[in-house]
This record gives sequence, C-alpha cells and structure tokens, in this order.
Amino acid sequence: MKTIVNVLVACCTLMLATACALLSPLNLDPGAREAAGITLQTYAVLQQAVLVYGYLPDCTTPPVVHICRQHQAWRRLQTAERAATQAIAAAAPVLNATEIDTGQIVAALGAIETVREALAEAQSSWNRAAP
Amino acid sequence: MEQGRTMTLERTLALLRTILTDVPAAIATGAELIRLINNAYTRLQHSATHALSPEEISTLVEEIKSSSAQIQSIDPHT
Repeated sequence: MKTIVNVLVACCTLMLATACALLSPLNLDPGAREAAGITLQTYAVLQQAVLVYGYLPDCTTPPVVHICRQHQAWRRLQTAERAATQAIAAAAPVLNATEIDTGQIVAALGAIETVREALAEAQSSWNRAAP
Repeated sequence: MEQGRTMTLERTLALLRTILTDVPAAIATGAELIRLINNAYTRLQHSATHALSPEEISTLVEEIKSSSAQIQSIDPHT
C-alpha cells in the first residue's frame, strides 16, 4: 500500500510540476488556456491521491499500522484542496473565454501548488515516521 | 515556445512510461492505482495534442468539484 501511494503521489507531483512549468512562461497568451487544461487534468489526478490519503486510518501512539493519516497533515490538505477547487471554479470562465482574466488563472495555479506541497509534506512525514 | 513545450511534454510522457514499466509491485497490488495513472496518461496525451474545448473544461471542473466534495466529506469535524 505504501508503495502504491508513493508511486501515485510521485506521478502526480511529476505531472503537476511539469504542467506548471509549461504554463508559467506562457503568461496568459492563447496557449495558456491549453496549458491550463493540462494542469487541470493533472489536478484531477492529484485529488485521487488526496482521497487515498484521506481514507487511510488515523495515526495512533503507539502505531498500529505502518501507513496512516496524520491529523494535522490531513487538515492542511483538506483546507488547501477546498481553496484550490474554489480557485479553479473561479478560473473556469476565464479558461472558457467567457470572462476576462483578472488573475484567476494565476490564483488557481498557486492554490494547486499549495495542495501539491501539502500532499508532499504528508507523504514525507509518513515516510519518516513509518517503520 | 510551442516546440519547447511539446518537447517537455514528450519527455514527461516518456518518463511516465518508464515509471509504469518499473512498478510491477504496484501493478500486482494496485489495480486502482494503475487505472488512475493510465487515465491520467491518456488525458495528458489527449491534452498534448488537442486543446480542451469549453465543454471539456466544464466537464473537468465538474469532476474536480465532485472529487472535492468527496475529500471534504471525509471526517469533516475532525
């Protein structure tokens, strides 16, 4: 299970980092919409990794399972994920070219990056703690 | 810029192929994982060659909202 989640997180992180790297130098020219689409696709996968983490059993002292969900990390993830989804929803009309961009895309990318960081932190904390 | 972006995406997809080849343990124990990764891979391939239509973006945003609702429903009061 640990290997599975690690691989999933690694794949998501890889794809998201690449998608963000693709988008950042494009600013908001027409190509940005295409690149933002890639980022959204990747974020949808990243959410699955968050779900996997969320369904893990809570960590206890002493530990009874090798892989568990840390309370603080999970709260951070939930908060970051909620903010990212709200930012994405706000950016959707811009991506669909029905609204003028006033910073929604950049805000969504920043929020998505926060989720990625929170998930990576959760992953690293269990890697340190697990036997 | 376009060529550089395409090259980067190609390298990413090539790396994903390598990852999928190198995780036989995960393949044996995580059918769901492989389904998710394959799905992501297919989506990225599609995005690499097609700009998303407004309908596709709307559908994707709805999927994201749905997954978010699932995430927020896990232990909402803890």
